[in-house]
Amino acid sequence: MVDYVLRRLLYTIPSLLGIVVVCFFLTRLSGDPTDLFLPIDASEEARDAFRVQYGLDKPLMEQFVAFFYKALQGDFGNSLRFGEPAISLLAERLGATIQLALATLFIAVGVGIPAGIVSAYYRNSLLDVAVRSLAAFGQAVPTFYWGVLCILIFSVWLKWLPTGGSGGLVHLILPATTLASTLVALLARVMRSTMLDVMRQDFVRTARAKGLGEFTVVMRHVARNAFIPVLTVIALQFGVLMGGVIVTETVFSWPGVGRLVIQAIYARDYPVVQAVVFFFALIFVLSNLLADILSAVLDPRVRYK
Amino acid sequence: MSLTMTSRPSAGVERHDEILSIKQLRTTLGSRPGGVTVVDGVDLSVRRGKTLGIVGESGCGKSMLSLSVMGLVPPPCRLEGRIEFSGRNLLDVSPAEMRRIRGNRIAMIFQEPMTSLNPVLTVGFQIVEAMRAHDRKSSYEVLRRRAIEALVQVRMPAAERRFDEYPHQLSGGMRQRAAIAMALSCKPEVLIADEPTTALDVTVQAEILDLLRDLQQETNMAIVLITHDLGVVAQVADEVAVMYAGRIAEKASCDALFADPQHPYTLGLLGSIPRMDQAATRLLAIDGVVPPVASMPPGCRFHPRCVFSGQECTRQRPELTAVADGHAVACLKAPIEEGQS
Repeated sequence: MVDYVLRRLLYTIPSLLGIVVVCFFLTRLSGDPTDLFLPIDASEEARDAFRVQYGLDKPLMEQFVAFFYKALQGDFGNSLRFGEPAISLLAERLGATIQLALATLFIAVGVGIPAGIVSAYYRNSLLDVAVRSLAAFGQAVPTFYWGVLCILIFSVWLKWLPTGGSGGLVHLILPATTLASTLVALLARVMRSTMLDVMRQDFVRTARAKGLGEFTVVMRHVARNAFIPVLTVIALQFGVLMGGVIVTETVFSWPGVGRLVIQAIYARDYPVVQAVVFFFALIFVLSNLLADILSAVLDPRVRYK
Repeated sequence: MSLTMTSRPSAGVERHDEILSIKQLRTTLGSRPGGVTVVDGVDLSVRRGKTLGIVGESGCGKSMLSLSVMGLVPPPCRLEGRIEFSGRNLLDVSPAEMRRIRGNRIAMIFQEPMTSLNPVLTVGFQIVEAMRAHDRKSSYEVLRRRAIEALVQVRMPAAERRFDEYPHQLSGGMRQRAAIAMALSCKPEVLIADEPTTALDVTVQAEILDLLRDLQQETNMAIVLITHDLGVVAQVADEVAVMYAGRIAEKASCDALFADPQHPYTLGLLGSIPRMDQAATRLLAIDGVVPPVASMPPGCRFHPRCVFSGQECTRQRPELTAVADGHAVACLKAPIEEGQS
């Protein structure tokens, strides 16, 4: 088991190195930062001064090595806008985003998984049809539309919840449910179909033949096995969630990393953009690593391979 | 494969009284209109300490018959007739009551030891779980000890260690032993074994059959052995029922069935066993296939494949009739004399 975790951990290293490379070249591909940042009518001297200041006068490979070396130490340079290190701007906003992401995950798993279990167990019943319809609806409606609609209904008309900003739990409800809507729908559908697969397996019949109660058969023998592949879906979706965070944070003026990166993009503040992109990619890699470890915990066949 | 008969000494009457008796069982799958009847008017009984073999091709309804007894036929389904077990009709008992009987007093083992165990739970946990379903008072430690005893009883090598292992760490034969240990952990009165050796290779098959026979002698349980393999039946069964297309074709003691088979289908089955002592140029087989359940031929269901069939066979359903003491056959042409064709 320790062996397995260590090996998985080693596998993340090439991914992370790759991300640093992509981060650097992708930003450079979008054009000369000098042109992006300085006014169009800036003098040639000002341009040269800017290039020297940020090391842009050096050959690309040399720049890359410098960037790479610093990035590994967590240094993405100073924000062009605030002059502060990009990484500390990121760190400031991190708490809010993590709070939002975890609340979203909590809602998505807490609603989506039970919905999928119930829907599969009572397949083709009215309940199943209701869950499937809601799931199709949830997946079809885009997050930004959902967000605006929720603000209109719950904040403007009913005045139950604040329209945006951060504070207590009440501020978290709307953005988290909005962000969770597509994930709830996806998890309900995936859980339902893997449940149906497992329910056909022989060992489920064996479990019933032992005289176990239906609840035990469904939870311990069916749902537990069905959850293993769903776990991977959750991990992958957690990465996708980071994209949703950008939209949702903007709609609800949530002071997180998503809003930071949108502002940085508008301001052509490329060190901040690079830091955030790297951070999102890191989240993606880590959530996959976590899924691998968790599925080994749940599935002995993975553990002993 | 040789067909060796084993005769067992018969003890007192109580030791061999009837424990399970199936009367005119009809099992229909699917909802009311358009359901298919997979078991159609079956009468069978099993006695304590004895083994009833049920033989037939795949699709003859033998597995559905066993699931009917367990109350595990997948819904929607309809069961008619009676399944009498220790004085009660299992078709009338409540689901909760049935759950208490299932696994506890009537247990079952399945064909595929590879897939019939849960891959993510340890062998030991799955045995303990079976016991705990019927015994909520005993502590985990007590159940664990009993589970290891059960593994020892089924001659599981290194039983203590296997308790904490997962099914994928065991060989096919060991998995079937684990499944048997699980089924026997509650000391059932009836064990239904649905093709328990089909997925195993021949030497392991013989070991498992020996094991079942020894366990039966220790515990005096009744065994219903479902198989398509007449060789297996000849080795372990006391009585045999031959099933064809959801009905019983012939029912007799094991010795009588092999010595004097009466139903053309039984004759066909016996004829299709390759024998070591006769040089055959080609393998004999019964012509044709089992008719699909949705479109059964009228009259005797075997008549399209039967070399003896006549006009009456296409119209009249043959009832199970005694031809000798304890030997019944459902054929209008019976008794069939040797040399007739």
